[in-house]
Amino acid sequence: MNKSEFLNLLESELEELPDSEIKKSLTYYSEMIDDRVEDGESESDAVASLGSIDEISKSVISQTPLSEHTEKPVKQKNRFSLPVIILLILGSPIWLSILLALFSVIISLYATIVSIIIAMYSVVAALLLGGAAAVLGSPIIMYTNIHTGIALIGAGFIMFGLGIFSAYGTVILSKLIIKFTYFIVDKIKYAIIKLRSAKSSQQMEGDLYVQKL
Amino acid sequence: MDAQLKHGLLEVCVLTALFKEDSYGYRIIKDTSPYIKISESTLYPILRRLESSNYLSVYSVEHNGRLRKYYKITDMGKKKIEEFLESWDEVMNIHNYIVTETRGNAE
Repeated sequence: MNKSEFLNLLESELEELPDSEIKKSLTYYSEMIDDRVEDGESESDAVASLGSIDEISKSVISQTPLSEHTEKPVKQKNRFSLPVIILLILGSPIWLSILLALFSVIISLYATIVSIIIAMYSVVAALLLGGAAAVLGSPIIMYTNIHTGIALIGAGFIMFGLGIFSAYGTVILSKLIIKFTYFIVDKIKYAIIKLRSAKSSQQMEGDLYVQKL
Repeated sequence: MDAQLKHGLLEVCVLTALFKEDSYGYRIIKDTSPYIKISESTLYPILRRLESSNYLSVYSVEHNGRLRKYYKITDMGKKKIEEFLESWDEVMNIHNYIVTETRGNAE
């Protein structure tokens, strides 16, 4: 096979690529053959030493970045066409309120979580403070009524103990709630990313299809 | 040589062939052939890749009534060689480890 036969064959094998890509690889291989001939090889030897056309074209096609596979990258259509925009504006009272509702649901969920945590901590604080106050205040009561005073010390200690006990549980529980919130947020994020990548890969398949046409 | 290992070495070898002076495709293949075998069809995508990552630039020179593409290494390309040499110390460490673990026991 001589040089021009080789280049013609290669050109037809690469026809699915954009013209600029075909031209680049033809120039490259033509230069290689010329240089080999200049180095003393015969034209047919030079062509033969390049390997089979099939392998060459396969490697060129597979190594060409996907973005260059489309000659003129299919122009991304305006994501919202005019009628859609009009509909969006006209429908704004509906979707805007739905969006707001969704937003407030999320906010209220978050507020609930935060207030649960705050409530738990305030119970702990109340137990600890109440217990301490009861124990410290009981001597004053003891002056007037010794029995009530002693009972108050006991109650104070019980409250303080309960406070310490529940503080322990509260910290663990609030950590768990925060962790769970992160988990949920991650899940939502993941779902959105998956949705978007599914969309973009669909788009890409669409591009390839357009290119084949 | 393992194909994956070779793949990583090829790019650096091509850049090295351009280090002292600009060169063209066929000469790159010839200059590197004593050390590593690069075929025309492997070199082509490597050159394209190196060009698109700005490790080399391309210009054409007229030669015997035709155009020949010359490749010139960029500063980024030189840095890439430097990085490769630095990472090679690590590779040598691993090589040492493999040799002493596998050969050392046999003795």
